[in-house]
Amino acid sequence: MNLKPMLFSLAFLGLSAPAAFAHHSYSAFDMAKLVEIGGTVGEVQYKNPHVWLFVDVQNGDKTETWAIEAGGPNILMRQGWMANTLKPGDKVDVQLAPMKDETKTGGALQALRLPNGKTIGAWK
Amino acid sequence: MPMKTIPLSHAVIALLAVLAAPAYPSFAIAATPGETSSAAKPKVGSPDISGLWMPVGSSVDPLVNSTGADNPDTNIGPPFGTTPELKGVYLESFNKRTEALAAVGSEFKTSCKVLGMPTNMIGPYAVEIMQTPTQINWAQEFLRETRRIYLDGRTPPNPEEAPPTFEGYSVARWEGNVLVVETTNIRQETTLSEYGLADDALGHGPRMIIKERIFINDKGLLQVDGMVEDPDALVKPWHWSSLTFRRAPKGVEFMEYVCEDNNNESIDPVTGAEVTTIPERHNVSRADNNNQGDTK
Repeated sequence: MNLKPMLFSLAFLGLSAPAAFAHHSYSAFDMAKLVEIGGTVGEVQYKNPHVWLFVDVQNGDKTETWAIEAGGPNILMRQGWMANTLKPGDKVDVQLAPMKDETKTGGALQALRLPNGKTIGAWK
Repeated sequence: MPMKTIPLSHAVIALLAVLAAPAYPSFAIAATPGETSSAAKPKVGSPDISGLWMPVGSSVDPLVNSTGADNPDTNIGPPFGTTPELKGVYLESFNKRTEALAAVGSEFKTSCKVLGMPTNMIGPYAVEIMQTPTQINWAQEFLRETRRIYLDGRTPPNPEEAPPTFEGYSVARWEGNVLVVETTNIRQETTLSEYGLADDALGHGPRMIIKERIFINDKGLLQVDGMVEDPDALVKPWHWSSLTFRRAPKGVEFMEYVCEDNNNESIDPVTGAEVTTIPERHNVSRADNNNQGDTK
């Protein structure tokens, strides 16, 4: 089973860590939670202000798509994630802060392990 | 589900570092409007600050590993390091904004609109400086904001004739290796130490002056020390903690940033809460859901 939703609790802090300094505040996401998934890249929308990564995850006999928001190309290109780094079909591991709306399988990207093993962001 | 706690030691250290670093610069020799016309003549041999610079601790700092959607420890704390002491209607306006944001769990109001001065100085992306003897352009990638700093002795226009702007009007002169800048004529929507605009145009007073001293420090970082004088809105002048910028690695270039391109963040008109909408997937999803909670 590839789906490894591991919920790491930061609730003991009593507060969410401040959001990354970006063009919005990430208040739609639960930044105190961390979900880990492994799956296949379905699509990459490599645009400002935020890149969106779609990852298809096999969960038993079902496939779930996770939509994950990252920073923009201005950040990611400088971290080594270029527009052509990920292609549909590539295997990736992702740590994300899930959306507060639990009916949606979406999240804010906390860390991404690329097929070559390089990690964007700090893997926890 | 397995639970795991993450030590906050790095975050706490970073926060303490930010709080402990005011190091107010001396503005005793800062320019005044009357001085600029005679003192602003370009000097031969002025420092060369041109080039691409990365805000230290931001997601584009070569020493930071970030997805841009995470919480890098280095981004913790007020970006300016200190907060101004507002008064009167400006304090009331500030309280109104912060209370409205707190009510919906947001730290700032998402927008693609330029933030102006002084917030432009804490833009999170690369800064490109183009320098000539008579003018310096400071371009922040984020929201495509560019300041023009004039060193040819001109004086700011009469704000009654030429309406104030988001970046304001900057005149400067070199004092040795320090670029001494004064900025006035700033639209009152810009705010002090917040990360957003004041829709009621009470972000600061009409007579605000931003005084900056810009130089390359002994670590080779570009340093910007700033002080804001605003007799209408501030109890006392506000000094921000030194902002620093690291030269970008060779080969890194300035990038275009178009916030409106793929913006999926908006404000709910009823609740004021920030809403993130998952963009439509272009290729056909073979998944059993499409992220939106419905099944198809």
